[in-house]
Amino acid sequence: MACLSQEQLAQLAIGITEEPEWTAHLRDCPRCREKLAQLQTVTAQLAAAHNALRRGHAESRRQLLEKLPVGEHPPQPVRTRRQPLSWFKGLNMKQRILLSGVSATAIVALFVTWIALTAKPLFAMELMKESLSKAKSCKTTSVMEFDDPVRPGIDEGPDRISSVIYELAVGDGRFDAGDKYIEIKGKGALSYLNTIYILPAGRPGLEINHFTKTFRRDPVKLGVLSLNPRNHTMRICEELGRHPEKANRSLGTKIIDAKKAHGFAIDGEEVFGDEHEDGRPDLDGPIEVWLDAATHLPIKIHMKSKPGNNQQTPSSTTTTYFQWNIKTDPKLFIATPPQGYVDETPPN
Amino acid sequence: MDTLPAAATSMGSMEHSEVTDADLVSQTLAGNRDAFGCLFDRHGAMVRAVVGRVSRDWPTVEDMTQECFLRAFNRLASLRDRDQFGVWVVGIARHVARERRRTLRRDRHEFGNPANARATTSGVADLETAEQIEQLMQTLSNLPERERLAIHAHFLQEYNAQQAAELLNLSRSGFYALLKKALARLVATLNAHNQQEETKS
Repeated sequence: MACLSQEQLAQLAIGITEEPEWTAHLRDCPRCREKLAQLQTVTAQLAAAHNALRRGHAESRRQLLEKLPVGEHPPQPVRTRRQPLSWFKGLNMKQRILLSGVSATAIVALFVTWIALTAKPLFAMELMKESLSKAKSCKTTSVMEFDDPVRPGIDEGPDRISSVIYELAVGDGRFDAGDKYIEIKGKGALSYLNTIYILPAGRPGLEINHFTKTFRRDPVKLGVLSLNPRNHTMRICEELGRHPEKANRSLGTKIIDAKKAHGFAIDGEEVFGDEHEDGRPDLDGPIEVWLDAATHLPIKIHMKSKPGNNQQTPSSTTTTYFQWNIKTDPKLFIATPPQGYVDETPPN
Repeated sequence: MDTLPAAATSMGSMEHSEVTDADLVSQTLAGNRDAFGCLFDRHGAMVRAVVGRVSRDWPTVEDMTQECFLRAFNRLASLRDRDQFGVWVVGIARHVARERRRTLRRDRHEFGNPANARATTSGVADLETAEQIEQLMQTLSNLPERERLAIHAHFLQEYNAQQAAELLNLSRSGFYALLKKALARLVATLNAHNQQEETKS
């Protein structure tokens, strides 16, 4: 057996333990015996020194009791506020380390759970952008409502215009404000009512007005949309997805069309910037976007507009009934004018 | 006024008494001064050991010890866990010792009376042994605080193993581990010191 360590010898000197192996070793090892003897001398001296601390104790006790205030009890406690974390001081180091470890783990777990359960606007918009990049087509219904009933050419309101929008990822678009979607009182409706816009990507577009039985060919506008960008749902969503940092407020969660949706408010003016200098109404307040919690694709978009050059009353537009990746008839995007309609294409 | 069991009022029998520190604190607060004397019996030596680190002058050690207990008496009502009186008064002693050390640093001209020096060895007849003990206690005073307290708690007969462990907020095994480590370090330091002395001579 190897020689005993200083701590093992100390253990023997204090008398904490008597290991038979150690005792046997001591019998054979004069060096360890010598060390143990030294330790025993030290412990004996320590005992003597500590005994000396008691000398004169009785006299000291008498003096102390004399110094105590006569006939008085110790002062009563002044109620002090318990210091926060004072209980922590009562723990030993092992308990403190354990408690700190458990607390740190709990905090990390809570944070991860919070991240997982809370739809953060920034993350949600990025997820929407990713989902949009995989979408092939979209069909939506856009409803425009005018808040102010007094508008030129229209008797009274509030009026409501519904349109069906078809869009393909390749860029084809169709804006169909057919008569069955028009709910308008009186005559002299806005120019685009009862009108179909067919906008095939990279080819001339067509505007058919069933109300006046006329059509107009639109020149090719590569990279630019013929209509107000806000009427192109996929374009809107793409734009919003490009600026996730603008989605700065969560609107919570609700059920829309039997789907769980997370809502976010987005500063539309910041997203679209100067694109409205064509005289279209300006946005009034943030755009509300509701995303399907499962697919991260929009299922409702709502925005308000202030009066502009072409529109003299405030309005709100709600795009809903989103159908993503549906099969669309290719004929919807063929720009052929109906027979008997008058060509009103302005000369170049 | 409640009175203490007769056995509890004498120092010798105190160690085996069933009267707890909490009982003694309660009785002191009720006006029983002897109860406070019993607390002094139990913890006075430990307080002397703690404050003795900063002064080897016995009257100074005594003064500091009395100061500790007077402070404890005046603040006794603020002690929440009355069973922890020992830990609490040792805490006061450490504070008083720190204050004393600061004062000594400020007043470097102050010297203890040589006649009163050797706080722990004046009762030892053998001069050589007294010097060894003095050297031992000086070495002890340089050990880390918890190790020093473990040695004091073990060698003061007022504390049993459980009480000594509680004083350091340790389990019994933890206390013994600390104690053997402290002793090993003490002996190693003493040996190193002795070797240095031999080399010099």
